[in-house]
Amino acid sequence: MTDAISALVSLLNLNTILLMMAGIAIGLVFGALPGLGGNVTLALLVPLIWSMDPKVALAFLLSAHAAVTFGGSISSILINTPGTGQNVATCFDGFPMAQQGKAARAIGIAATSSLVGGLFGVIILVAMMPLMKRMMMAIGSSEYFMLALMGVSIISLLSKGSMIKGLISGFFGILISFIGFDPVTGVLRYSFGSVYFYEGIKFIPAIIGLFAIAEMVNLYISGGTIAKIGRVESKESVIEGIKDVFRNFGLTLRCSILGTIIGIVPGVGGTVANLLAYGHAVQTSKHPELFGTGIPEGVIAPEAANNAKEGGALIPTVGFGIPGSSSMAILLGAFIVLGIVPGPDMLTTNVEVVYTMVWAVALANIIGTGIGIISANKLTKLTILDGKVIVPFILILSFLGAFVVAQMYMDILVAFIFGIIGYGMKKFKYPKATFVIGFVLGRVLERNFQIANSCYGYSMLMRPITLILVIVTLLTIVYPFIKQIFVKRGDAA
Amino acid sequence: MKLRSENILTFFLLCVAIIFIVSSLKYESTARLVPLIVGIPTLFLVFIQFLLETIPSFSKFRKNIEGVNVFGKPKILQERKLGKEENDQRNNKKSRDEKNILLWIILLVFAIWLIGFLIAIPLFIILFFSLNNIFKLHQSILVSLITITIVYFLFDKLLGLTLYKGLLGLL
Repeated sequence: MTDAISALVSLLNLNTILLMMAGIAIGLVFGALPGLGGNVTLALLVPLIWSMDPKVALAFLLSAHAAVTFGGSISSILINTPGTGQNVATCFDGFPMAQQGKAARAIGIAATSSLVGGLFGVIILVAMMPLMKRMMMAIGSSEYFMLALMGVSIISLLSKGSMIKGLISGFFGILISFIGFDPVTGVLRYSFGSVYFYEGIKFIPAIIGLFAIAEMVNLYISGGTIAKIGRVESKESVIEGIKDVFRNFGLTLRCSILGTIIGIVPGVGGTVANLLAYGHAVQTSKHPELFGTGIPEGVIAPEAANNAKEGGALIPTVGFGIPGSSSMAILLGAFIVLGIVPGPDMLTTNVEVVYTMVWAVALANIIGTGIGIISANKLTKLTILDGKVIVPFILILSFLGAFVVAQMYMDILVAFIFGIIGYGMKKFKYPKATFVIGFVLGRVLERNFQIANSCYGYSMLMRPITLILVIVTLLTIVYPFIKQIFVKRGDAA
Repeated sequence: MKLRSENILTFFLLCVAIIFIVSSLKYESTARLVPLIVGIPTLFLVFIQFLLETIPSFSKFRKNIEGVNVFGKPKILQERKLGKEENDQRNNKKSRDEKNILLWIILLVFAIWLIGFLIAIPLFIILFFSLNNIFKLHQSILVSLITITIVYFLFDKLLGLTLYKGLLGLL
């Protein structure tokens, strides 16, 4: 307890607060710019920390990192371009809300649910510290496989209605993810002689094309403004967004738990967290058919999970030196620069540093939310500009974002091709959500299936945690149909 | 039987699925296992979709399957019913706009490839705004100069990312 208090006190000085605010501002901007995101943010800021005190340096880095995810949600909502891969699910309902003139409300929702999720994640981080080792040792490839399968089963949920098209879209996403070297056998698949495809299709250029470029094509054709009603709602809608989160507090909490758990599992990543949370929201909603039309729950779920994941990702990073995500891998590099050795000793000799990180993430979430809420109304002006004025800038930003990922021209072509595909999907009503889920989870699914199969054979399904996940997955698939039967019986009665 | 663009898309997906499956057969058993587990149902589903779209007697089944679109467009504006002539005009305009924007994007991608970001971006902005009559020429030039200045300082100077210089490498 005294370590926690002294860690907080060490952060509460003007110099540290100013550095944290600078980190948050950088994180928000980088998060909003497609193609940049958490990894680039941390990679560019690490060289700046050489001369800083370790606690101050960590506070600076973690503030920037915590703000990136919320920054990404702003571009998801306003221009249907996920700023980071972790914000892709926010586009599904966030952008339709902007089209209805409710951009400020959507930003209010994103800011508040990010705050709740972020704070929840750090609370779990503190509570789980004594249990870290046992947890990490219990999770293996069969559990990873089941988590990915659980995610893929959401495709069946999100396909409800236009079932065949949804499944086609999802399965094609999975097939596309197999392009490149097979991580288990090393076999090069579906490269068709091109060196570019050795590493597969990169996620960010594909997503930029699928969402941003496709939407700009649609905006040019449909004309008018992003906000189809030609205006944005009054200032009260930001407050309405804040209230939405507390009206749906159960969903916010459940998605925060989901995000934290996903964050704890190394290598699964934030993209998975926000998609799984979205799928969970669809599954548990009384009106799943409304998802995708611009409803608050569709923004609450992914944003709560996103930020909760950060607290969870710190658990394996700090406790074992195993990065919970790619950005945590960069943070590990920062630890080395600062002379900190991650591992079990962090919880004994360096526990004050751990609490500093906890407070930094918590404060960054609070300050970032405040900045987001204050600036929401200014940002929403973008949605009432003439669409044809916005289109060239977003196209330029999209191609820049696709290029900066790996500084390869081919990524620009990938974004262009996926832009055409994305427009086609929109025109002929093939859901993009299921495609993205398949694309993200395909590799994870295959890799862990192969490893688990070679280690355990089919008895992998009998491992305790795996068995629980099997039951949860089956319930995920079956629950909506059972619910429908009960609803129909209720209506008949 | 008149082929609509929807049919062409589904036929294209069918070809892609077949290519994936045939390519998978060349790989060793472990490498092709999961792709085939996913690819074969995909082929089956695309084939069913193709039948639903092309065979008129299957259209009643299609209505049942595609009853409610989960990701339907929100009903923001009340759309009034259009007459045939108005509908044709609308479709023609939409088709024209689709071709226009596609050409603009191809132009931008080609320009980036040929002359790099720093020249392609201002050129694209000037042409787009002036030819679409959104801004006057001098306004378009001003906007393009501001844009390229921001892009250059943000990406090149601040972030240290070298922007693609293009095939000709003029800058």
